[in-house]
Amino acid sequence: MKLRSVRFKVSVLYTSVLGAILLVYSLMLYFNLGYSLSRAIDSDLRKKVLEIEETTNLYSQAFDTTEEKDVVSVRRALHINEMADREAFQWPSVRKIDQSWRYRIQALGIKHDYVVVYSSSGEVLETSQNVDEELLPILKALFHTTLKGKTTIRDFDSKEYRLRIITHPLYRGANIRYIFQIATPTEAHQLLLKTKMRLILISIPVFLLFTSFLGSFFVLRVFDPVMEITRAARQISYRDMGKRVELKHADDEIKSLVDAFNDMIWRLEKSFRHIDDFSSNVAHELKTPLAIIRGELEVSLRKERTAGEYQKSIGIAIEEVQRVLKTINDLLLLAKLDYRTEVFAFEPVELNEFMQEIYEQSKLIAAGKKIEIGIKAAEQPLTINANKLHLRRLFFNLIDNAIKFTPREGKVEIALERRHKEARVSVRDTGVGIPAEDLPRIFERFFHVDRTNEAPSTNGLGLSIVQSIAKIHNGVVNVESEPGKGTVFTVSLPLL
Amino acid sequence: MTTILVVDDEERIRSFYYRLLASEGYRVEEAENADEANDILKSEPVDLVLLDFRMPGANGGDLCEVIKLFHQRVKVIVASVYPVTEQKKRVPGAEEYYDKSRGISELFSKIKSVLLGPELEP
Repeated sequence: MKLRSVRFKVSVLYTSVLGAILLVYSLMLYFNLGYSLSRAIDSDLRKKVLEIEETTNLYSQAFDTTEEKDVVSVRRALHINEMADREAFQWPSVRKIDQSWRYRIQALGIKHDYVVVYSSSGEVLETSQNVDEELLPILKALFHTTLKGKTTIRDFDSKEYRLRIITHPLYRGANIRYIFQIATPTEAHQLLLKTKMRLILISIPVFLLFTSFLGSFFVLRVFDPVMEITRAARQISYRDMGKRVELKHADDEIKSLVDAFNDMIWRLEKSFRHIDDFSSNVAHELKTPLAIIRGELEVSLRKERTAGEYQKSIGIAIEEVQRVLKTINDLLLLAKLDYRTEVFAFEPVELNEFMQEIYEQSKLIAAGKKIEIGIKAAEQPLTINANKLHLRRLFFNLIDNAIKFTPREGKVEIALERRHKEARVSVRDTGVGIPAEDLPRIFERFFHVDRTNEAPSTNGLGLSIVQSIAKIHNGVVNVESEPGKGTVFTVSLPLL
Repeated sequence: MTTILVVDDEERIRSFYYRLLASEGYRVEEAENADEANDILKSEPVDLVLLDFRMPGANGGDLCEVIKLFHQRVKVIVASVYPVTEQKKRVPGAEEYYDKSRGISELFSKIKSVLLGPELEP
């Protein structure tokens, strides 16, 4: 797995997020457990110390409350378990306390705790039996660093002992009479916490390792279609555009990617084919006149000809040279119109006036074919933002076409009108018309409509130029035609 | 006299080949499209067709097939400005292919060799 692969990044990302979550969660549980355990110990300790206090008080009441008898009470409370039955008082009230206290000691689990009772001056009065020579100094030292007036709880940790210790004063009136110190061993709890911590530290890495493998596998499955697309993309080339990505079972997101990809290939294929056709057309359109020129020149050289024949050949050659130049200029213009629209300067142009000029000039051409040409201006001024040079070219092309494809003594009519926020200029002729099946294609580059014998041949770029010029003016060109009756081209241009 | 039928949709090309071939002593017929060519083939004795395949309507390829089916004696030279390899791809089955931009002497030699027929070739 490479470091820069998505698979690696996703793996690292979700493993670390998962790790962080697991760690935080586990530590939360761990500390909560520790806290709960100490709370439980504390509440036990409080209960124990209160019960010892209460029992001591009960004994004191039973024995009477002299100071000496109080010590007896404390001793009895601490050692009741070790006392044999014979030591028991036959005194019924004391016997009753003995019995209940024995039972309580069992219930509270005081047996394992270390109990020390101090006098108000800090002398050790009594200890439980399990407090030995070693432990007593520790407990005494702790006792002397503790506030005496109220109940306190603290921890003690050493190699031998782990203890939680409560210190609790017993009051007689306003004075402290005794101070109880109960230390309970916490090894069991510590051990529990330690085990938990070890479990956390071991289980998290194992868990993460497992999920990262699992995740990596899933990511691989998710990326399977991507690999498929990559393979297909590598195989697709200019020579073989037929290749498509096929996925048997893809998820929606991947499917839309695949569809978009295939669609893009389809469009590429189309535009490659378009370029292919286009260059083939360009070659045809440029080579045909050159073939004729070459032919004419070779014919002239072949043998001695009359002056008339030479003149004819030279005339044809010049005509064909002009044709080549026109095609080249048209192609350059189209490229400029399509890709470099920023080079054209625009200015406000009043169309009625503008078309009137074009009409005057067209009359001369129309007269040659005895075609009647007319113009119908709009009632209101039509001002648009236009590049005069190219707009003139647009309408000359349309009118020139109309004249070309209209038989002698036909009619061409130019009409202007305002429609909403548009100026519409239509050029209507009574010419041969365009077959319905050709209409959608007439603006394509190099498209030739079936020509009649009378119409001179064109290079098939005129209407493309018309459309491209309309486009740079944010306008559109529409065409309606009826074969045999005529054609109307309508140019719609947005008004200023 | 040998008759050559020039099939091309461009009037200026037809007129050039008409003058060229006529001055070499051939009888020349002209057709603007496949239908016209077919009519001429049915009514006149044609020896050779000089065929452009880029035409509106039925294209040169179709016409070539028709000639090979119904007028086996008629020879076909495909003539267009496309490179010969592409011509062969588009119109298979013609006797010869001629790139119009190659000059007239190549055209004459191709016409002559096709009219002489394959049996006389070495």
